[in-house]
Amino acid sequence: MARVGVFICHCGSNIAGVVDCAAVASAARRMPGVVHAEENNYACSEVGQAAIRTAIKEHRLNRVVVASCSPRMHEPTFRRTVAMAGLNRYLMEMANIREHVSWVHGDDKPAATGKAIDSVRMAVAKVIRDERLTPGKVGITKRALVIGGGIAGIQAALDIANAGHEVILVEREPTIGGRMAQLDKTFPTLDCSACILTPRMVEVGQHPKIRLATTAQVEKVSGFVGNFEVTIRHRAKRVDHSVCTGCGTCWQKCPEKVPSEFDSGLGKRTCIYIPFPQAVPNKPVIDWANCRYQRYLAASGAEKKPPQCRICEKLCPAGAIRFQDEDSVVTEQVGAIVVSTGFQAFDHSAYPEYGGGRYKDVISCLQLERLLCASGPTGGEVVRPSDGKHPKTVVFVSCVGSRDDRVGRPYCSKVCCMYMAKQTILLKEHDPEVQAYVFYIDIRAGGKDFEEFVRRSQEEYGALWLRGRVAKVYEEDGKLIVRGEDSLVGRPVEVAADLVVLATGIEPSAGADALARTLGVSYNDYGFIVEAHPKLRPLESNTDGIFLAGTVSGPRDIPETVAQGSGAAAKVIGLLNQDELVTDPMVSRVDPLRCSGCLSCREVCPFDAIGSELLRDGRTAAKVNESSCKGCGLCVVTCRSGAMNLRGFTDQQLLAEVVAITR
Amino acid sequence: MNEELELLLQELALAEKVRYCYQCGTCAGGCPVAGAEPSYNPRRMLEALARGEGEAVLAADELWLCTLCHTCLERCPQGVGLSHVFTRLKEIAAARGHLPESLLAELQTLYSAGRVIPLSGPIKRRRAQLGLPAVDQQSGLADLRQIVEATSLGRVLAAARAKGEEKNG
Repeated sequence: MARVGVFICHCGSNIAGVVDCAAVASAARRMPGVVHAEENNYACSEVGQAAIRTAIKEHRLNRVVVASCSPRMHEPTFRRTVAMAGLNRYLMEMANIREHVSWVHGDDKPAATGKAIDSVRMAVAKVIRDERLTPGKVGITKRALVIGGGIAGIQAALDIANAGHEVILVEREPTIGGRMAQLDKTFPTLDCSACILTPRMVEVGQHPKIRLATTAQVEKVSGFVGNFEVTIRHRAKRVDHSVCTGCGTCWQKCPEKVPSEFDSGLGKRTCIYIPFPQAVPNKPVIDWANCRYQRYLAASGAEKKPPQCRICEKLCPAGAIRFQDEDSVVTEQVGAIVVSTGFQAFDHSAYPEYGGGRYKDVISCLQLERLLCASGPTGGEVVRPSDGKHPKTVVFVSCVGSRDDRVGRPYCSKVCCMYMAKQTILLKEHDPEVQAYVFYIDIRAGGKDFEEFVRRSQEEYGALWLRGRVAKVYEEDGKLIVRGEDSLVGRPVEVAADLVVLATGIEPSAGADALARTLGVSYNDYGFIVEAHPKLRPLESNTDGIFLAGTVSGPRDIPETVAQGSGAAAKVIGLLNQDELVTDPMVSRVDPLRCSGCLSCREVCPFDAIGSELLRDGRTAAKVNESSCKGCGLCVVTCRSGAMNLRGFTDQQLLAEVVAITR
Repeated sequence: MNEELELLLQELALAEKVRYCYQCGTCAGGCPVAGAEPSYNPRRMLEALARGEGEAVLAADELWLCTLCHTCLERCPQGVGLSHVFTRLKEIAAARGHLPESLLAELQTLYSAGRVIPLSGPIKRRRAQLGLPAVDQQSGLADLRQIVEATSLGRVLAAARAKGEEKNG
């Protein structure tokens, strides 16, 4: 016999300001099954919870309805409350009379009270049919996968590994280091980027708990928190890294040169290469698409074959070249995943008014970064790509691919103002005769020492910051004419520049959206992965066990990215330190007597949680893997014979709710 | 501000995203007119609209300097339809009789002569030399006047006349 207690929360004036809670309580007392109803100022407070526990004892309640806010907020709270009073925690239902009633019906108080009563009546009808449920337990694979080896992934991998858990770090490129490795200095301290990054890279390469997989990509992910199965494709390196000593003979002698990705296309690299001298692993890979021997093989059968080349193979003292090497695909078991695939710079060819890539001396900030860097293609000489002369007038154009609806990038990239300030300072230090102009819409310098840094660029280094967005760049007599408005004066201005630098914005790495789909996590219009909660769960995706670090979820600077790497690692460590996970019992259940064995449920299940089993009478029936099931209910609505039911949301319960409000 | 203008500004806020302007100056920087005539500044005009100074924008002669090249509209990062906005403002200004004298003269010629460039002695002579048929000046004039009167052009003309009388009287 159900003995239901109903607790109506005032939520201060949030509910009581609109809903007549006393009327709801007296109506509840007349509902079938209800033996007790009381009001409460704040049910979620210590006092409120104590009142619920006392009432459970006094009135020997075996079912509880809390009429208050959304179950998203306090369902766990009240489940714990009834559990402390000795009830099964699943014998509690919430009626949402705040978000669904008082907050939206403030203009009609009597009707709001009526709706609150209906909500309570539904919850009472449902709770009477609640069953005692027991959570299951499942083991955890104590190993983490980190996808993306930039500074966020490096930090996460090191922190997890240092806590004693094994880490697999997967990186698409031949080296870890990411975008930070391409930078010359960092704002606002002007630390040498490589000097602070490369020790971390080396640490990753040498860490006994970290397995580094470069030129590798995640292809498939299945399973669930604590027990993921990940398929990783290792692209053919065509160099046996277990034999290679990294002596460098091959890349010094390789005759085929292609534009270097690491130098943003400004310099050349060979076809067997390491991207930069401090690369980790410091062993080369062969760029097979551009390799001369590959072209020779591809031309087999043609009359005139290109030369075989194979110089690297001939010269390699260790005999490490493996032209026949092929991709390998392996599966790994991991308990947690950190996604840190980072960003790429916006491609400025989308801007025809800035030349759209036609003018050689209109470069991106990342390219200027390579020119400023002593390890860059010019050895740290800032020269014009067109004629190799030292530019004296340099104009920066802000918000290229940021705050621009036209190119589908309406957001602010957050770091550009600061890196422009940094580059004006570095330019002046390279060549005191340089005059820098910066066209900006707004200076966004929110951060420790940021505003002061921009002031330094203006006051100590004489950069002229002009408020206005550049409208056009065109070539005239060997100069680049930059037209914009100085909107503080209100006049159009023209600057004849030697070099124009476009502050290209941050966008997700190519393929980030495809990876998000592989992982089953949500991403926004621009391809940034969406956090589980933007304020309170910034490091979690909306899939349990998949965590986020760095620019994969939005524009960020280096310190923030590193903090996120450590934060995501802390989440992973917290997860992997448990021995088993408690699973939610509100999952699907098959009634084998009704199941016709059509297995339509298996087709629709997004979590691969349904299999089949052979019954003793020889029939086939669906079987739910309770640790994979997320309780979405798709199978329930698909089942033709009504054999599927979602625990906690059974057909009987839902129908009882419908009957309760329609009677 | 008069009601018609207010309604128009409300419509433009929705249709042409006037309120999205963040005053970056891309329009003014790229405007060929602003390059030649600094008193003309599309960014300032949008700023004035945002400030509720629509009447001043309507009254200013600069409104008529826009050549409708649409460069501003193409480049605006916020997608504001600047040149469309200016066209709609010109319509209201014209309906109030505020339009440049050269344009008004053209309109009056159109109304009185049936064409923007009226037939003159030299044109008639040249037509005869080229063997082109003579043009009947009156042909279609009544129809055209009816069209002008029935459309907003008539409103513009009437308003301009009223304003002229006000000035003279």
